[in-house]
Amino acid sequence: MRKLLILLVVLLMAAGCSKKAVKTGTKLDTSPDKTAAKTVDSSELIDEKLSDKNLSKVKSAESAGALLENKDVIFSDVFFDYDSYDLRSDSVSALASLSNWLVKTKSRVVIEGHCDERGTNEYNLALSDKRAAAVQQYLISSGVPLWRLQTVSYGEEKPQCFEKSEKCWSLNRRAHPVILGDNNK
Amino acid sequence: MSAKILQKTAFFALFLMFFPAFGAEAKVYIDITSPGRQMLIAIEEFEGPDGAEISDVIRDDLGFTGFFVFPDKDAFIEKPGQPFDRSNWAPLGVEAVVKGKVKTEDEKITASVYLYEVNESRVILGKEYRSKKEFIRTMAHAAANDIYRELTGEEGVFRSKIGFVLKEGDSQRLCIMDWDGHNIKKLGIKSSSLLSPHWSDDASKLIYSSERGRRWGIYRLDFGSMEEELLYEDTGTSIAGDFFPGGEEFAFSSSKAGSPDIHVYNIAKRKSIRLTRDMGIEVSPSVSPDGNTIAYISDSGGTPQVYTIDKFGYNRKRVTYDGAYNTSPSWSPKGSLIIYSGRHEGKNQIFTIRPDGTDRRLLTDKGNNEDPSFSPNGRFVSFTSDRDGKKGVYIMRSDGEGVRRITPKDTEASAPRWSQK
Repeated sequence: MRKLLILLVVLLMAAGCSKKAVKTGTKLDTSPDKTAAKTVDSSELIDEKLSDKNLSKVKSAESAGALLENKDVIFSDVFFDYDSYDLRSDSVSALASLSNWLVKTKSRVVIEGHCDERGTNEYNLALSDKRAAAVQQYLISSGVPLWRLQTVSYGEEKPQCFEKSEKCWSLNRRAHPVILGDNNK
Repeated sequence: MSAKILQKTAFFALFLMFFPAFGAEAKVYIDITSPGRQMLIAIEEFEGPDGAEISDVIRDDLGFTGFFVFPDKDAFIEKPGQPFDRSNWAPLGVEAVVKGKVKTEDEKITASVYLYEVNESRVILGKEYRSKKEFIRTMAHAAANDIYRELTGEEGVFRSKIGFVLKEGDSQRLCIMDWDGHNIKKLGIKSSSLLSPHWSDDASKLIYSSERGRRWGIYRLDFGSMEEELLYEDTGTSIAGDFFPGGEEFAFSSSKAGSPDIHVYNIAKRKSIRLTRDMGIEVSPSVSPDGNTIAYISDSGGTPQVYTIDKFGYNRKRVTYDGAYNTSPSWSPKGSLIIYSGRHEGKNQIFTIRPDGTDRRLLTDKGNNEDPSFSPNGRFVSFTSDRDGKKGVYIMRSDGEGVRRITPKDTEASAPRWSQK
């Protein structure tokens, strides 16, 4: 009996102490933690740095000089199949006239590679790089020296048409030769 | 005999009195590891000038997580300015309440924010925030982070940023914005073609690929000096990939050896190491959070697929086998998932997959969706979508829910990357 009583007392005390039960209406300690006044961390640095007056001062690296295009001479584009960088048979004849002219006139050319919009930008940039490289390789093998050839890839960034149709997409899957002007000889 | 028992009992009782809080302090208010349950939380409009702007930001931040629901404001009994009283909230079923007060002095603003738990009528958080007025949203996001952390035990991401590319006429402009689409800042860097920016892990730098004068280079913008620097340029096309942890090296793709391959560049040493040597296309390297593994795209199997390789160029493994066209991989912050864009039923959709190639999941189903990347806690994803017409930057939860556009509807924006801080 005594043991039971003691046990009861213990239990009651335990019950009373296990929760900080606050009666409604009691004043809560609501003084805010003032030590948390904001210290500078890198995120805040970004917000500060990005204020409009700082942004207008951003120093941009110099850009490479633009290459002069010879706009009097234009050769036709060479087209590719979807997700492919193999030269098609219909391209070879177009390229033959380009390579003959290049060998004869000793001109320089930049070959631009392009894609249709369907893939993702980075993969398309790499794909168009391969397309330009395929044309470059053909020209080298037909006698144009490497030093007169340059390539640049544009991926899907500079399409020549914008419709969402197979006709437009096939026009964008191309390598575009740009003859360079005299200043670059 | 009885004295001894009494002694023991007294000791035990004293013991209990001094240690009443077994487990009570390590409380999990909402268990975010077992999804499903949402917490009903009331965010009262903050008192004082611009107070509503702060409480609105807090509500939007918490709301996007999907863990919280908010009762109808019209049902509130307690008004801003009245002291917290449990009996005003318990009948509505509200579990937690956020109240606040704002003071302004010159160009500075001070907000006192309180988070109450209704059931036990406790103040969980009482904190004062001070900042310049122009950073009111940053301050509100900081409060939202603290509230989120108190309730879930996890760090909030509400002060993180998203870097992206904005189309401006014939050019493209590098920009950053808050994770929720506010405070779009044009970074004074514009070029005719610009690809996705990649953040250093401390969010202090961005690297990106830019085409200028028919040459592609990899540039770095340092937010400390606000200067852009050309880090790498060579023959062929150089496409920036992720930084390695620490920001001293980055992975990139270059076709200088004849075909696009994955390389690693050490910025201080100005040296690059080539990791892949295939004849096809190797592009889009994404560095794992621990810096040991690179996920990338290769068409060496015939079609573009996701592969992983270690940072020395060994242990190449193919990850994706489903789908004929998989690109733009990105790691989750804990390294447990790779997110990517895959062609599915004629359009590009976003998938996640484990690095071992198992558990492939489809997250999107409308329009074309590309360039996915995770938020710092892995709970949200940013991506490009053309589902509403012009390409824009969108965000969603990592289960595919809660999709929302965050760049303005009349603009064309793409290539978003979420900062990791």
